Formats: sequence, structure tokens, C-alpha cells
Amino acid sequence: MKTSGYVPEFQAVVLAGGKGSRFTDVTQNKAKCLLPVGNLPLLWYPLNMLQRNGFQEVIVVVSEACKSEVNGLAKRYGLDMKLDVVALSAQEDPGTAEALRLVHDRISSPRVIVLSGDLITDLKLHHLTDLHRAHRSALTALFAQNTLDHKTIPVPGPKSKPKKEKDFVGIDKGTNQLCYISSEADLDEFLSVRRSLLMEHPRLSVFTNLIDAHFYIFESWVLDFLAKDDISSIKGELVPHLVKKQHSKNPDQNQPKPEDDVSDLKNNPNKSLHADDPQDIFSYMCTDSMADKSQELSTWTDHTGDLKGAYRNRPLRVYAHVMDTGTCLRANNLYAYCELNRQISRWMNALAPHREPVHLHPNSKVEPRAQVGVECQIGEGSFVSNKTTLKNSILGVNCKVDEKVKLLNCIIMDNVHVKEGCQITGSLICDGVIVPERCEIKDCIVGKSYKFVVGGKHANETLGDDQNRMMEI
Amino acid sequence: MAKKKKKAAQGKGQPLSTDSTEAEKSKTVVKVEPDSNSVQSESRIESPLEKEPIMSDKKVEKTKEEILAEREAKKAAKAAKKSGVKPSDSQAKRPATPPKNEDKSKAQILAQREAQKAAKVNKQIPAKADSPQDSKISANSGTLELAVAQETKPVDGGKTKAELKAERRAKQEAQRAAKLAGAKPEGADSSKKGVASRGNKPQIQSQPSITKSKVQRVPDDMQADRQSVEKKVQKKLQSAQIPARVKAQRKVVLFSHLHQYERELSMTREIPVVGGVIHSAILELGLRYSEGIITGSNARCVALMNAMSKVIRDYSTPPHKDLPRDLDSRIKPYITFLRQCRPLSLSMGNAIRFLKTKINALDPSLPEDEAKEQLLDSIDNYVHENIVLAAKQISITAREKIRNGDVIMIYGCSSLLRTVLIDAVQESKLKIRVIVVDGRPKYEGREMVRHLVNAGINCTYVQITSVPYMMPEVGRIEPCDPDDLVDTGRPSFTPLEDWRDLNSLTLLNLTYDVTPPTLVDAIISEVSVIPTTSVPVILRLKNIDHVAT
Repeated sequence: MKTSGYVPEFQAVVLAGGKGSRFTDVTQNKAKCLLPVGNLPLLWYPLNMLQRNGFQEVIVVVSEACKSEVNGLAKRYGLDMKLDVVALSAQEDPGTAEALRLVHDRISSPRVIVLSGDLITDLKLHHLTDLHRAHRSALTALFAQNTLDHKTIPVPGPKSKPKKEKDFVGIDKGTNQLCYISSEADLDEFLSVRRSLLMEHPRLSVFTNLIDAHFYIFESWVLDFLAKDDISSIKGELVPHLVKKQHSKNPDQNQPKPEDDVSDLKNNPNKSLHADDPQDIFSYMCTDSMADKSQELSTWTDHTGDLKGAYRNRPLRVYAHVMDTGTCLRANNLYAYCELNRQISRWMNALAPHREPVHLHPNSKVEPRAQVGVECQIGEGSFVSNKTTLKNSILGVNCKVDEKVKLLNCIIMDNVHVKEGCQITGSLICDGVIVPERCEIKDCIVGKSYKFVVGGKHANETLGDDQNRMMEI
Repeated sequence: MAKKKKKAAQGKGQPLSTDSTEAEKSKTVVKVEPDSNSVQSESRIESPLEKEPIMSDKKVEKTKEEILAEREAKKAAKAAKKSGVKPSDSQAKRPATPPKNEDKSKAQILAQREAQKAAKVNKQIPAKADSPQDSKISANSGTLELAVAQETKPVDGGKTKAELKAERRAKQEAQRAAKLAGAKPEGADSSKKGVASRGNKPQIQSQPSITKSKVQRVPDDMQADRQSVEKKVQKKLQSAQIPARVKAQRKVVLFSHLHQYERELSMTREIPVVGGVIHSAILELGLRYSEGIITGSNARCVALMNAMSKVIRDYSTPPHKDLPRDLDSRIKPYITFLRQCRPLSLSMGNAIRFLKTKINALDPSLPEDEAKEQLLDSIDNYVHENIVLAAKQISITAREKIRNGDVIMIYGCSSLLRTVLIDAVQESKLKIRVIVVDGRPKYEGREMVRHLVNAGINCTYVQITSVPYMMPEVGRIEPCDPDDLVDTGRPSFTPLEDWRDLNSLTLLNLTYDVTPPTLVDAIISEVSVIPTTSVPVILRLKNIDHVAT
């Protein structure tokens, strides 16, 4: 629907090649992007959000193994969009930056939206794009209030200390600029801030309770820079690099100002400053001299207190938007994943307002004397027998629940057979598991080919085929 | 401006306390002899003909009704007189028929008006075209105020809406009359007096028609509070697939004919991020306008031309379509969108008109690339001639008016003035001192100060409240979202914070105020120094120029 006939301003890239290394028990046998959340694959949610904002073509980077499934994902789950699926080769463990490099030649638009495949949000994109466009920033990042309290979320599996993955995010509230970002792991005892930074941004707010949504709007020249560099992680290295470069002395600032030559509109207004140093990001930057000139004529400034012009004459700017209402979660660890599944029916309204909420799939069969709670979701082709109780649970596709079974707060994936008399509470049961009769399972993660004992009782365990592979990375 | 000087002359002996909390520059009070109070040239950038003082047409309609009602009342009065009931009994009738009572007093008004009219004619008021109406207004307002005073007695059932409106209008007219009366001394054309005095009487009767022809109004098809205008706007937006902006919730009634929008809700909510109708450069431009990042006439024009050149560069003619016409139809929704973001400035309007003429003048047989080249060239030339060179020319002309040792007072910030002053110091090597007057909410004066200080000019920075105090030092003067008014810069002190909760309070934050052309002595343009009346001539000449080339 390219009515305007112009090159689209934005292109979207979804990075869904992650292995889910933070909860391998679950992601061992199923790619993280295909894990079900509310009986829809995890990847569906970011794609849905992009579709709601007008995107009809998206580039998706996935691992080799799930390429074919992702290819058919859009059609299967009712998304009217074209997916350009790019597969990461299975061998190495690529970082997010490597994934971006892979798709670099498919990028033709001046701006790129890069998001992680496990982001579930009802973000109104215009907040970010407004910021990005209005201030001609190089990178605009999304942050959200962290609403998950790890201490209060019950999680299946052995009790473990939640990993500390805080981010220290410094935002100048007056200008919305992202001035400082660092993850907890990279800091020792102290967080040091350069004095020159404080001189420029005297009112800096540093947050530790924000989720980095891993949703970025880049200018395409940043990706050009990335292509020539050997950074491996976007969040870990590229973003901090850009944030730091905001305040560095631009070598061109000392050059004499060009003549008031406004007859430059005819030539390409976006020309790079100089191309000597491939390592220096400034050499990739496209400048719009006319826009600078009109900014100079304008009577607006974004800060007070010094004699510099708007934006302190800094050509490279990084902005951040903090989402304070609505949902924004990344399903990259067990807590988030479980919580998502529990809350998804409540959030679907905001996430996908035009989609019919499906609690009991029309192709599923629920016997009349089965007690199925309202928040439960039953997938296609599943069968729930009489005398069962399901509360707050999600049942996947093609499952079979025999009689006298109690399921409470469970997440059950596809092709699972729960035999008679079982009581399962707060657990996560992966694909293809057969739970024999009269088992009592409480707060466990049950992996694929676990060999159950009939009538076994398990609590707070990870039940997998190989007991040694329980490590969380 | 003349008014201000008079005030200053009076206030010389009474230094008012300056609001100097914001003053950042040194306060050395240099005893510079101000120039003789002869009003020197004032440079203005924009034509003062943007908007004239307005009267809503509802007022005219109301007056007609009033007139009709008056006639009825007169008849009733006559009938009453015949039947022996005194007119003063109408006072007793007041609770029962409030509107009629108003008309009753209008009859008195007319009588008083005629008396005052005779008195005024004898006083030899300069009878300009405006004056019969003016004296009428002041008489009207004077006596209407009487009527209002009478009606302030509590009436059961309350006053009708019409009465309230009439009261408000009376107050407005009084204010307007005062302002015009203050400007009167400039031009007196006594030769017309005789004619006017004769024309007075018939003019009183046909008051509505006079009002219509003499007072400038915003044309009917532009007033935002009319249904037909709203419908037209909606239709236009729909056809261009541009989402409408959310209208302001509470408007000040006097300004309800202007388009006002709620600032918080961004227009881009409704526009899809990808695949929309509007080109990205225009979207950016609109955002920057509505956020105020690009303000100032020249800046807006340059930014607009920049965006347009991007549009043209990205444009490719679809098959079977004519470049000039297709491009023109593409640009139309863009302009509508920009207008929604922020009303077009005069410079933008001129630029768009120029561009459209150029597009329409394109030779249809030209290959696309050449046509685009041509357009881009003409845009370059336009910007170069009308902004860069014009600024240089104006600066040269204006500099001749500035003398060494001058103290100049400026309000707010304007890029052109900035250029003039900086060039005066750097090129002509003049020594001047500048007093920058600033006002809420935007504090644009700070930007001006920053530029001037960077150029090495001595500046004093004051708030507008201290203008009378600073006035004795000055030789030359150049005189810029209601929620912006709420923020006083002190987080604990925001008395206006919940202004929407108070039903009787409406905030109005005017961005532009217009000096009537009669108060402006001269306009310095790149063509020459002209009086205000010659502005349309210049514009006309320029248009002919553009069409010819």
C-alpha cells in the first residue's frame, strides 16, 4: 500500500534469534521466539505491534532451526504482513550486532526500528518517532517501568536467587536525552560520572528500576558504522558507545563554519562530513546543513545556562522515552515468561484490540462437566474431560486432559497428555510431555522426555531428560 | 509604541521596582541621553496586515435583533404612554420580561447617544472614516454601561445569555474605543469633519451596516466557531487522510473564532508510522513546528523550503500522470497537515505560493529529472534571494539608522533583528547597547541575549514588567498553549495548575499580538524604507516579479 510512492521512512527489524539462555530448561527444545504465550507464539506479539503501527513488511532474524515455522507464522496467526526471514547460522553464538550486520544490505530506508523478538508491549509508536523526528536524533531508545517484582512472582523450578540485571539509566528529564547507560554487571562498587557530563546536563535523573525494552530507532548511518565495526552486542556496546559519543568533541566542531551558503539544497543535503576514519562514528554521520541553518535561525533552545545554541551544537544525540503507562515486558527470563502467561488474557485487550479474545478455541472440546475458569485458555484441538478443574491455566494445542485432573496456575504447552488423577500446581509443562496417572507436581518445570514415575510427587524441581542441564546462564 | 513613550515620559519620576530576578547581565546604568522623543524608524519584519482588530459577526447580528427589539419597545412605549402608563413602570416589569427591559433602556441609549453625538461634533473631533463609528462606540459603550449597571440588580431567573453577551461586548467595545482613541492624535483629517457631521445621524440608524463596512473582521469563512467552517475543515482533512487535531476544551469566548487545539495530544497518534500519505520530511517539519523547535518567520520558511526540496527530490511521477499537476496535488495535503500543526506564517504562505506558481509554470514536456532540477534551483534561488540577501540588504539599510552610542530596546527574539544588530557592531563597528525585554512563557529574549553576547554586544536583560523603569534609558524601541502560563518555574508554586477545574477560569496564551499599522512609523524591507500603507504595493510588485520570471 505504498500510496505515496516514496521510499518508506522506517524499516523494522525483529531480532528473534536469541536462544533464551536465561531459562534453558524451557528453551532447550523449542526456540524462544516460538514459545507460547497465551497460545500465541512469542514472536507474534512484536509483529502484531508493528502491524498495528502500519508496518506491512518486517525483517525477522531467527535461528536456522525455526526458520520454516516463522515463515508461516504470519499467515497462521492472522497477521497481514510480509516477513522477510533471515536465518542465523547455527554454529556460532552471534550477538545482536552480528544479526544486524546480517541484514544490513536489506536496509534501504533512512531510519530503522530494531526490536527484540521477545518484547511484548502496547506502545504507541508515535511517542518514540515524534522524539526521534523532532530532534533528529541518532538513536532513540525505549524504557519502561519495571512492574515485576521478582520476589513476589512464584516461579516453577528450583528456587534460585534472581539474577541481578539492573540497568543504570541516566536521563536528562528536561531534554529527554539519554546521557548515561550502564548495566549492573559492568560496574564495581562505584558509578562514576564525568564532570563534563554534569556540566552539560546539570539535572540528571538516574534510574535503576527501568527495563531496557531493547527497542531502538536508529538512523541508517549508525548501521553503516556498525557494519564496519566489530561490536557484538547492541545493548551492551553499541548503545553505550553512542551515548558516550554524544559528548565527545566532534572533530568538525573546530572547523570554520561554512559560508552562509544556502544554495546547497540542490545538492544532496545529507552528505557525510568526512570519511577518513572508519572507526569514528562521526565520519558516517549524515548532516543536513539546511536543517542546521533553520535551527540556527529559530528562537528555540532545549536548555538554558550556557552560551551554546540548541542541542549545544552537538550533532549526535541520543534520546530515550520512558513508558509510564501500559504494558512493556521482555520475556527473556523465567519470571517474565511465567508472569506474561498469567496476565496475557488481561492484556490482550490493549495489545490487540481488534482481535477476538479466544479463551476456548472453537476446535477444542471441553466436556460439559469440566470446570474451566474464565481466565483459562484452551488451544486448538485440545480435549478436556469431565470432572476436571482448570484454574488460571493455559492449555496448548492438541492437549489431552483426562478425568479427575486438577490444574492450577499452570502453563501447559502443546501435545501434552495429562493422565487421570493428576494434580498440577504452578508448573510449566513443555511440549510433548506425558504425565502419568496420579502425579502430584508442584512448581516444577517439566521438560520433554522426562520419564515420570506413576504417582510421583515433585515439588520445586526441574524435570528434564538430562538432569545436569539445569544450569541457568 | 507612541503610547509607551508617553507613559514613560510621565513615569520618569517614579522608578517602579524591576523584576530583576532574571536579569543576568551587568546593571551599570549608563546615563545615555535618550534621543529626542521624535519617533524614529522601527524595523518590523512581518507585515502588520496579518490580522486586524476584530469584531465577531455575531455582534452584528445581535445588534440587528436589538434594533428590531428596540423598535418593538418603542412602539410598546408609545402605546403605553397613550394608555397612561409611564415609561418608568417598565422598571417594575423587569422581573417578568428581562429582554424587553433591555430594549427599553436601549431606547434611552439612543436618545442619549444623539445628545452626545451633537456634543461631540461641536468638540471638533477629527472625522476620519472611523470616527463616527468610534464616537458612536464610546457613546454606546458609555450608555450601555449605564444599562448594564441598571441590570445588575438581581433578576429572578437570571439574565439571558444574550444579555450577558451584550455586557461583555460593551466592555470590549469600551476597551477598544479607549485604544483607538489613544491612537487618534496621529492623523487628523479635519477636512472630512463637515461631511461626517452630516452623515452622523443617518449613520446612527444604520449602525449595523456601518459596522460591517468600516470595521475589519476575520472573513466569515475563516472563523473557527462557525459550524460551516468546521465542517469544511473536517471534510478537507478527511479527503487528505489527515487526522484532525483535538480542539481546545475551553476557549476564551472573545477568541473563539480562532483555531485552538489541545497541545498534549500529538497529531501523529493517528498517522501510521509507515505507509502514510504524508512525506516524512513534512511530518518532521510539522512536529518541529508544533513543538516550537522551529520558530521565527525566517526559520520556518527555510525549514519549509528544505522539506519541500526533499519532497521534490524523492518524488517520481507515476505513469500516465502529469508532473506539475500530480506534484501539486501531492503538496496540497502536506500544507493542510502543516496548517493543522501550526497556522502558517506569512513567510510560509508566500513561499508556498511561489512554489505553486513555479510548479504550475513547468513545461509539461520536460523530462522528469530536468523538471525536478529546475524546481530545486528555483527553491534555492528563492531562499537565497528572499532570506539571505534580503537580510543583508535590510541590515545595511537599518544600520544607517543606528548611531554610535545608541541604546536600543528589543522585545523577544527575531533572527532578522539579530543580524542587524550583530552586523552593526561587527561590520559598521558601532558601539551600541541593547536592552532585551523578555516575557513569559517562552522567554525567547534569552536566545537573543545569547546571540548578542556571543557577538560581543553589551546587553541588559529585563522582564516586560520593568519596561517603564528601563524606558528612560532607551533611544529606540522594537517591540512576541495556555498551559505554558501555568509553569512559573517554581515547582511548588503553581496557582494555575488546575485551571480547568475552575469553571469560571479560562487561560489564554496569545503567541502573537499585532501592532496596528497606525502605530508603526516605517517598515524597513530589502526594497526600501516604506510606510505601512505601501506594503500591499510591494507584495503586488513581488508577485508580478515571480510570475514573470
